[in-house]
Amino acid sequence: MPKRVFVKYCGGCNPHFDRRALCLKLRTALPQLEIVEAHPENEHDFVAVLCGCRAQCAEHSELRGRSGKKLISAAGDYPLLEESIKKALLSD
Amino acid sequence: MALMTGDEYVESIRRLKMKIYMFGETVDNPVDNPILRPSLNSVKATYDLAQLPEHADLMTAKSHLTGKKINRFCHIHHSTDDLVKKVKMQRLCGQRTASCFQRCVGLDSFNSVFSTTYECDRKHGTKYHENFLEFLKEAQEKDWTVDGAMTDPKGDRGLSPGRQADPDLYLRVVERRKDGIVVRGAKAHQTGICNSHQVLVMPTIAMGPEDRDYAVSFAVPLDAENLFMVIGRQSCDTRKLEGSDLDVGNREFGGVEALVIFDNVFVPNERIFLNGETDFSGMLVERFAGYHRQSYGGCKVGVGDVLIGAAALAAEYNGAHKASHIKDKLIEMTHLNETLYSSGIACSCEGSETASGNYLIDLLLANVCKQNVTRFPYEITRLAEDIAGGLMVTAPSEKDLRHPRIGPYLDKYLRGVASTPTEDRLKIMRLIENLTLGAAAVGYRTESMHGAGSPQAQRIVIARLGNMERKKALAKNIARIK
Ligand SMILES: Cc1cc2nc3c(=O)[nH]c(=O)nc-3n(C[C@H](O)[C@H](O)[C@H](O)COP(=O)(O)OP(=O)(O)OC[C@H]3O[C@@H](n4cnc5c(N)ncnc54)[C@H](O)[C@@H]3O)c2cc1C
Repeated sequence: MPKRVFVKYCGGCNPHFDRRALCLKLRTALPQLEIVEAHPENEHDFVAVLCGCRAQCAEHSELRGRSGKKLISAAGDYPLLEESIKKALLSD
Repeated sequence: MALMTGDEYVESIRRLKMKIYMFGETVDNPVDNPILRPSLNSVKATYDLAQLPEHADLMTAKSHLTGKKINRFCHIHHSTDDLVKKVKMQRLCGQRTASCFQRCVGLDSFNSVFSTTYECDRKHGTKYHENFLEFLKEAQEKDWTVDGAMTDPKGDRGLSPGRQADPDLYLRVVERRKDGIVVRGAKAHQTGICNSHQVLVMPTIAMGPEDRDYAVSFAVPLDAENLFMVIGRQSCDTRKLEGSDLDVGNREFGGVEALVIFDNVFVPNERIFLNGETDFSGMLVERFAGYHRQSYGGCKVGVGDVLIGAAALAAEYNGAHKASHIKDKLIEMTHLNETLYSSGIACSCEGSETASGNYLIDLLLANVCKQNVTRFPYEITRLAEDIAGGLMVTAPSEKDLRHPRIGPYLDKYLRGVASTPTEDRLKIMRLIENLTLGAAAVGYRTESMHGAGSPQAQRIVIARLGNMERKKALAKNIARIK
């Protein structure tokens, strides 16, 4: 079973970048992982929190990633996110 | 059900057999009526957006009654974070519809009736909070859109409800029965009423003991017997009958208001939330108005985002976008818009808990927010009209643009920069027209002025809560006055 990354979004009232496009980029870059945007559980292999601005208001306190959680709030931080996921889930 | 899809919402409204009048005729199928449909679509957007993972954080919340995921428009705020999220949700909905999406009056009435009934019960031993909780549970479970109905026709503004020449000019109880009450009167300017499942009625002003019959709050379904509504006209409304996408400016979305008449409507006991306790009328009015004044710091900002974007595109399409005064005007529009947002957020962050456990905004800051809303959208529209140029009110119709002989002339002479199709330029002109003086101006301009209370209503609250004595003491202290 592929490892699962849960993408949690902020509500998107005034995002400075296209958060869903970044999610698609993740899917393309990491085809060996399952990238999900909606899931009823709180625990995942990894949690990626995509916030549209520096207010970072996404509610993610109850979400846990067994191998890590990373929040980004600018499109320029995408490489950091991809890197963190690779390191956490694909390093061996 | 808890969360309906947009399509399920539309079908749920279709099932209601409401009595609606427009242009002197009854409207048998409001859902598919071309004048009304855009307003239904705006409410539908509040359901559609709640289904999207990238907006769920704002559009949904956890019910404090059932623990289930519900639409935030049915939520009782339980923290300042909830209040902030409400404003952000409204900004989002305004951005997506560029019009009044109508559902916030229900949210604001839920929260004000919730806390007022709790306090009324504690003082008078009534059972209104219990009644209200049952209603709220059903509203959350069925994901209802609820019209918050406060404004009475009011007749002579200089006279109290009981002293009017016609006693029905404020909605009142005309009969008290064992199983409920019968009410008569009307509510004016009701936003989204024909797109709602229920109407939640509240009194419109603080009242004295002599106005007992007017201090009434309750909910009934919109297909209740003896209830009917007459749709308000909007500027350019019949353009929607012409089948032109371009000429309406915003093809998909719009707002709607109506005069709602309660011609002896029966309300069962379990749906009564206030019945004669005049000492709680003022509290209910103040809280509803406060929440609604906060709302405008979100919804109008979202619509403002669209208008600012439209003005920026208009400048790009006519090649003036690099001029320093144009850039400065766009900055000014943004500054005004974000100032509205700031006070919407500020009154939310400064919110506090009521005795019932829900959260109320800071009333002073909410009133400051709305006072700004009575002004800034007017300045934003002025600047948008400045940037747009005269074409926004002189452009010929879509039919002319498509005309085999005239069309090519319009395409040639109404073009701005060569790289932008004339049609795109006209689309932006029509959108600006729609927002500044067309159908959407009802929501963006005059509703900004009078919705949630005319400007003077906010100034009265600002005067009361402004803490003037402390300001004087501070000045005396610095000036060393004993
Ligand atoms: C687009 C729109 C949507 C709305 N949606 C809703 C809704 O969904 N639900 C709802 O309940 N209401 C709604 N309203 C109603 C709104 O709250 C009222 O318009 C507002 O309270 C003003 O009342 P009015 O329109 O009767 O104006 P008026 O009372 O006629 O006011 C006109 C002027 O007279 C002044 N005035 C009035 N009374 C007095 C007085 N006693 N002393 C001194 N000056 C006075 C006012 O300050 C104002 O300057 C909406 C209004 C609009 C325009």
